[in-house]
Amino acid sequence: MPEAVDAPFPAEIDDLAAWVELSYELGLTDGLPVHPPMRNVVDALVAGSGRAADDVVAMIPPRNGRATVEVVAANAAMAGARPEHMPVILAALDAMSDPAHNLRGVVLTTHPCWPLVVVSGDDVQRLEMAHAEAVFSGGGNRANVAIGRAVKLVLWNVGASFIGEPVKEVLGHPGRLAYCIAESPDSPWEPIHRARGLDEASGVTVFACEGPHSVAMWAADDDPHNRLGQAADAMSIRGSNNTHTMGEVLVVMTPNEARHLAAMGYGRVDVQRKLFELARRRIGDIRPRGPLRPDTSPEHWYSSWPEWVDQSSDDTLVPVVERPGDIHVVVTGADSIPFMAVCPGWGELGGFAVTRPVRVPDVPGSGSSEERA
Amino acid sequence: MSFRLVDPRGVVHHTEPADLAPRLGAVPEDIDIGFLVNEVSRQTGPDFTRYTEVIEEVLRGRYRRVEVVRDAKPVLSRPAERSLLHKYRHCRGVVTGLAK
Repeated sequence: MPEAVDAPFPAEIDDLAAWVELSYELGLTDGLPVHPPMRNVVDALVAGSGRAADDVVAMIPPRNGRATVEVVAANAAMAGARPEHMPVILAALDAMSDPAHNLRGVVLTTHPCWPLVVVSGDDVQRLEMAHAEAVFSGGGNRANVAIGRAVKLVLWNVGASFIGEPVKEVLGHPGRLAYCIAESPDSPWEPIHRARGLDEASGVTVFACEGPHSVAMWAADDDPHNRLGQAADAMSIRGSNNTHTMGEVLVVMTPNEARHLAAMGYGRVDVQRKLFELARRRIGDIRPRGPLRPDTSPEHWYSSWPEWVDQSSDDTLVPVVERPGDIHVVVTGADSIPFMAVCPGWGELGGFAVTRPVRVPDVPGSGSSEERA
Repeated sequence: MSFRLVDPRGVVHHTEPADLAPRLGAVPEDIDIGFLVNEVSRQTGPDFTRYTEVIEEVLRGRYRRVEVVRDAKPVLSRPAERSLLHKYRHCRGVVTGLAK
């Protein structure tokens, strides 16, 4: 943990060039340079939120720092966000604060998972977010990176999720720098927030997951069973938390892959069901062996699996999630070569997907519907 | 010209730092001790439920009366609920954080 975490913060500086070194000395960044949180910029970001500066957005673990709108705006300013990004940033932080997400556990765990922010619906185009090439690394787009970066800086500065102490992540995750994607408007299916029951123009879904594991369509013909089988294979690897404890998993596919499946009669729910059917592992392949776990007796069964899984037989095929709805399907990426990607979750331990609406205020600078009209 | 800045760290309500519990020192002949295992028994890693059973056997050989409270958090990734901690309220010492 940076020693300077509670060091006095200067109310003003005379030389902006001094900010870079000061930001490092105060431990205000994880290594990447950050913009100075200048008062006028922060005020504009607060205005873009349409909320009062002292509204409390969330208490951010692990140190339970109070993230007011103004404090979030200060971090958004450091991330290079614009006022119109604020409603998305606030929605993401609100979603992460849902107990189902277990943000405290997510930021502290040894596991390489991090909250992925998925923006869907009208805001993808309103904010001109990237949803094509290299979408998982920001797509060369300010909105994608700034939103993901602002969230990260809030978790860093307000929550004090510093590496080593208290964060124990063993290998790390590139998405810890910024982890935000936008769902493609070219999807043949409704946006993911609507599929999750949110009847709003735009939504933000957060899900703590690993980085994308590429799934190319090697040797797959047009049959959806075979194509989704490629992803199912990646979903059920032996080293995945999902394989051993279930939880939730994200499957991403390019728009052309989704359109192909749609043309074959598949909706998102059909994809989820097919993946649930295919992404399974034979217990005998994953049951630990060795002197400490020598047998298949009930005391050594997985306690987190539902009772309908017959653990007495090595030949039982165990799904990687408990129900099809625990497989989150997002359409994004370049509309060139059909591709999929699998982002395993944290397993049963948390990081579960939470969806929130994006409330765009009718205030100048927010890109609201009134302004657009 | 000066530039006004906004502190991005927010307000933190400082609480007293949690010191390590004092050592039990000389233990009388009667002992009440608790083990709070960090995770339910699972297939991977050592079995700390069994481990605490072994410690209990050792303690019973040393003391006249040994009362042991043993439980596990339902999910290792979340802090223990107050109701679970309440089970240990009478213990002279509690060993926590036991995991693989």
